[in-house]
Amino acid sequence: MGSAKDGPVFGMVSGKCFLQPKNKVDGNSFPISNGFKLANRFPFALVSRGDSYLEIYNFPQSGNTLRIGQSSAIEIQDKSRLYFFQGSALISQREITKWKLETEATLIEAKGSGTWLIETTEKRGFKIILLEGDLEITNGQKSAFLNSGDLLLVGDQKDQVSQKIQIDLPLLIKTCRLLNRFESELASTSHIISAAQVQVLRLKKRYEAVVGGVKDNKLQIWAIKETTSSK
Amino acid sequence: MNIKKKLSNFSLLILLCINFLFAYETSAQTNLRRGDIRPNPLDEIRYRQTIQQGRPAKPITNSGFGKSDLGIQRPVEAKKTGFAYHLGFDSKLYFSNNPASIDRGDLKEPCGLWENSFRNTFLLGAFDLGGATFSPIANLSYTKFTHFGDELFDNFDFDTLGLNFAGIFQYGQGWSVRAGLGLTFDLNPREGLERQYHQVSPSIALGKGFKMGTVQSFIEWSIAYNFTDSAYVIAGFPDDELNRFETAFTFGVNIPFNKFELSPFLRFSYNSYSNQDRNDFMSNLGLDLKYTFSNWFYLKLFANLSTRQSDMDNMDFNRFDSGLGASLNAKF
Repeated sequence: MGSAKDGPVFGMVSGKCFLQPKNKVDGNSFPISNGFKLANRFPFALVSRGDSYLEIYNFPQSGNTLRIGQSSAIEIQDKSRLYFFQGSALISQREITKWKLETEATLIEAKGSGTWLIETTEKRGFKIILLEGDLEITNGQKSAFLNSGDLLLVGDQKDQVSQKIQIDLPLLIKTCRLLNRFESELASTSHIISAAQVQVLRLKKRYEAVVGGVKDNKLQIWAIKETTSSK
Repeated sequence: MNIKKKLSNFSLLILLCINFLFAYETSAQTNLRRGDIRPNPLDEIRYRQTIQQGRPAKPITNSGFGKSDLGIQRPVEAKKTGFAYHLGFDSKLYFSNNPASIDRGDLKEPCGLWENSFRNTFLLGAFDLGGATFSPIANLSYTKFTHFGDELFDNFDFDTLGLNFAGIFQYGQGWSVRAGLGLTFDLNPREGLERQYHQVSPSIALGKGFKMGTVQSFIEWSIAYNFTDSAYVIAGFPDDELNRFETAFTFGVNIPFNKFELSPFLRFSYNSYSNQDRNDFMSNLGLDLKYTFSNWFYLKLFANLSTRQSDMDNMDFNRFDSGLGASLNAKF
């Protein structure tokens, strides 16, 4: 990972990923490769195809990491404003940062430090999971403070901020491709592991269910059975 | 003159023998068991690991859950601070080929043992230190050791009251540091639970866990000092005769398959006695085969081989224990 004086640089780029400048003077979209230094002016878009992933170090600040999942299209409007057409991302930051995150239908602010996952939902809302650290999510009307392991849905309507639910962190960490598909380790790995260990020690109950998806801004919960079926 | 001298020597020998036999008989009436041989040194480590690992999750095999790059999201319920109370009862019935743990003598005979333990463990919270976790644990246990099958060991029965505090720091990559303070009281059930031995043991340990699939292993290196007080000591010896520095290396593996778990353990320890010119090397090899019926009940077959080599005469021993046990556990 780059040192404190380094600017944003692409770490691992896996599969087919593109950078598309939004200023005509910066030219047309082009494929990104490992080690490419991000010197483009805002705004620009990052696009990943199926089974493609990319990672930017030192974005927006030194020591931070932004990872983008497969089949994602995200416009980087400025250093702390992201517009999601679709897809998922991981943000890891050690200093408190205030993000503006937007889709066609939703605008939220996320303020805090730590490592968190974000994914667009069917109705152009967001699903957010905090792996470690502290995060405050607000959509202008409602706000929610997340602790490690909390999952939150933010819908396209102003009052649509769901209740938090705790997610099994060891299982999530084991199966999260935004953590495991990348060769390098996040600077926050030890923090993620300690958050998971604490959750194991505090664990009261595991539900025999998993989150299957989001429909009409509501979580779909699927029961775990020998042969799984919807509830 | 020579005959007189020989008779005198013979008388002295007879007197020494009588004195030895009398002293032997006297101490056999009280209790010959020495407190520095702690029963089941591996059980405490095994139990602490069980508490720290929590309940294992059932594997989720359906790959359809894993379409999102975020990973499988299974809802759970967690406590705010992690305070928990574990209540446990263990019963073990086993054979020992050398329950007195001695090198030679009339008491080097086999017998049966019935061991019943009642444990209260308080997990006093789990705290995220940002890159490390801290969990303080307090444990209060009471164990009864009953010998049967040979009247030689009628006076060997004893109860143990244990009070342990441990602060455990866990780091990434499986590293952990444990600082502990243990208080142990051996009580004589035939003398109104009169205290026959106690030790206070501050300790510190460095450990590392490894995982390969479902198989888990660990190593731990510990150092401790045991401040002791023996009620039954031979005249002329101090009560704290068994004060000793102890350093130990433990290696263990847990291999789960179906509802079984096979756990071989190995422990080497070196003891240096402060009030004696004595150094001991002890080794324990243990093997448990556990069958889990539910979260709160399991049965196990076990075998332990213990040996001691001492640079003091007559302190060596070999001991083999083997039997079966049952365990009931509840978590609140």
